[in-house]
Amino acid sequence: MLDQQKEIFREEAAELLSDLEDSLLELEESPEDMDLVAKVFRSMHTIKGSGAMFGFDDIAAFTHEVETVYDLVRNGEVPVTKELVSKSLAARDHISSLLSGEDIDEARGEELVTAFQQMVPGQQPAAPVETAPEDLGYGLFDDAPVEPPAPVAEAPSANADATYRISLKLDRHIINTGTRPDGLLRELAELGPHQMVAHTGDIPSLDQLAPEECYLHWDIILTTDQGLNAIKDVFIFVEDDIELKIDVIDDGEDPDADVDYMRIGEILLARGDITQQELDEILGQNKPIGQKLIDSNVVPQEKIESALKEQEMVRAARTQRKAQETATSVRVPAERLDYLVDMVGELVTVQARLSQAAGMREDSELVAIAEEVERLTAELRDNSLSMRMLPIGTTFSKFKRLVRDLSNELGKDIELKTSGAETELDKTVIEKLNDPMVHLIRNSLDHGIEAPDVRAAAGKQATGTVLLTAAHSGDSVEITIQDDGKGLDRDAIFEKGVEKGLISADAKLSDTEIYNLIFAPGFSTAKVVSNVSGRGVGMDVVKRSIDSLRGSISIDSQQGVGSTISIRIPLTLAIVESLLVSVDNESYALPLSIVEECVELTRQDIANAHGRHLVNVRDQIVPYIPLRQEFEAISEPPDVEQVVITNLNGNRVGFVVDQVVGQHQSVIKTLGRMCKDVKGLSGATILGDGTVALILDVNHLAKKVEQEAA
Amino acid sequence: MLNIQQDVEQDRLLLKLEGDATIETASQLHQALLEGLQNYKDVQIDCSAIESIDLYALQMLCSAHRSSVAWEKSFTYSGILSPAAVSAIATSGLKRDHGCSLCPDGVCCMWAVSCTSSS
Repeated sequence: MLDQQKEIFREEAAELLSDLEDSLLELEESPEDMDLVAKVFRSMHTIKGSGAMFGFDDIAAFTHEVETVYDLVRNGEVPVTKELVSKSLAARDHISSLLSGEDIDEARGEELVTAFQQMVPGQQPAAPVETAPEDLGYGLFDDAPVEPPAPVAEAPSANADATYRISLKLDRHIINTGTRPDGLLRELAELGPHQMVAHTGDIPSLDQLAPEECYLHWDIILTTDQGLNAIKDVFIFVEDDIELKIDVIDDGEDPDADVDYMRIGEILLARGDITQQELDEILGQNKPIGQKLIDSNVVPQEKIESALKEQEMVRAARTQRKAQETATSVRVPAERLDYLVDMVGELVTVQARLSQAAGMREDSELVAIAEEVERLTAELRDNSLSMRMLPIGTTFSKFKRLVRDLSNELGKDIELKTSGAETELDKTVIEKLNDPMVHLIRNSLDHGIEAPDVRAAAGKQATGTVLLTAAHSGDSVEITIQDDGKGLDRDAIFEKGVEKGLISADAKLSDTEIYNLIFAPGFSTAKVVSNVSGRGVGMDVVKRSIDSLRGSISIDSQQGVGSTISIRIPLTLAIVESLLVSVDNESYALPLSIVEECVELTRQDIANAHGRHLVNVRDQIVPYIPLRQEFEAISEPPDVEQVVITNLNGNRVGFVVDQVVGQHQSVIKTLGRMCKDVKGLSGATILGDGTVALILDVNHLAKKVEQEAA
Repeated sequence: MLNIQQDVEQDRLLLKLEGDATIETASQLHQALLEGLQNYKDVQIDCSAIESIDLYALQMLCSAHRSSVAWEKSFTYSGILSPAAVSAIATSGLKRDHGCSLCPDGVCCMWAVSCTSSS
């Protein structure tokens, strides 16, 4: 059970750390924003509190130091500086490694603790605590080493909305201590939704009243997620001058708690305002309880009003929690979702078979059932696929940190702007997109954006900008990485291409073709290899990763102005709309997103081309790949073949097939270990009649033919 | 700074409070209220120009009201309450749905919603 809780804590802490990183990066840009400071403090506070509760004492103790500093920042005693943010980011990383239990750098941890201690004004860093072996055995009269302040676990947990009943009586002369009661109440009220009832019973008549004495006392019902200590902290300076009683009346954690809460009589009994005997006597009368109580003079009106307010508050808190319980998310391991999507994929396949079988039987009842199943399956498919969709912003925020750290390292001033962070993409796609994106951003930072002095000389703003955008485009997502750097050096790339033997020196290439050379293995024009990029092993890997996601990548650049890299990725890797074709009695599928049109190819057309694989489509020459030839078909081709014209990275390329069968929802199956290295095929799908159709890797096929021609 | 303006009309005294009714001016308010209730049968208090009021002043109004009942006199609001006064009554926990048990039947409590809003 504890392990499970620890795991939950790990997951939650990881999310908090991710939020924390965002907040810190924002804070660096707007150090005056006290809301951000409060957010950072809260994150630290929650990590500390829950860490201690689940036995992560190291995390709790470490975070305590950082939290202490942010408490002072919150109070305006310590300013937000670049150094503070840097140290905080480092602290965040340290907490993250403590959390995972991997790569823990203890020395770094101690260094950070000292650094944060030094930030506390007027406080010398504690002498480094010797991590003494446990069997040291202090003598009876020896001073035990000073323990770092152990964070106290708060009950209930600091992040649950608990409801407290606070009974507060101030010393009549409290004003002599310099404390204004109004301030205390205000501070308490800031902790969360509350109901306050001031009891006026002790107020004397005007001639007896001393104007500077406080005669009121209060019952306060407060719902807060800040924990018990936060409430006590309000009264920290007047502890000796007050009578304070705090009861937890709803710990905020029991989702099954009865929304009805206690009845008025029970509340008064719990508060000690009435005895059981008095209550029993009054309950015997046939009137509403509130009225009975007032009539009987057992309880003053105010106490009943106060009890009613308690009832109201707790009911409201519980009702809200119930609503939240039903509305909020459920954590499900990703594997289960993947399994669900797999199963839905199977179902889509079976459904296709059912529709096909029903269509052949001329049984209207069966057809009706098949149609119903088809409709439900489509809904189920869309639903289960959408469950795996995540906003791409989750990766964008990681890049902010990357840009910050790298620009510091490179001595450049670079700002990362993002747009379309809410664009959703399949979880597995996002994961696989991370590395190529990191590489592209590194490239932009290292090779694209110039040093501040160079930028100034070129009349540009000293701060470079990298713009990251994502947007839906049909069944794909288009991601662009745009920088306002120096752009690609067309001539340098050309020269390098010649040098590497990729092109001949007299080749006439378009700009796009030249830029595409940088995706060739081992291509790099950087004169010096830096540890950021420039080893030339990157761009071909990027291209391969994007290809493996069945996506495409293109570059646009203008020298001196900047470059834009566009990546187009299908929304999901699980199910695609495809065009089913047949070649030599076998079925193949092409992703529908790249298909532009289908045209006929007659024997005459072939003869007219004099052996070249070119077809004239509305006076435009389109090269084609005869798939019969590729797949070494032995049967006779039909008299009229079909050319499926696709758009590959801006070039029109045709694929000649025997027949175009139609549109198909393809549930993608991997080819398995034995066939994984087969080129030109990216997977397989099962058709309605149970046969297998292979999915064509059109990019690869086109490239292969291109290379053979060269 | 608290300015207490006094208007007398036969047996009725109108006390108009302007400015800050806080601990700093508590004695001044106490004296005015006490003298008013000792000398007049009907004391009305106008809180429409109050800029701030703390719970020392509020408890004094409560005491004045309670004393007026005991001394068989009348102590009521005149005019509307300033927003600062309305807010202070709510944040100090004095606002009531019904009056307190020390208010006899038929006497409007200073803190009951029906009395603070209708006057």
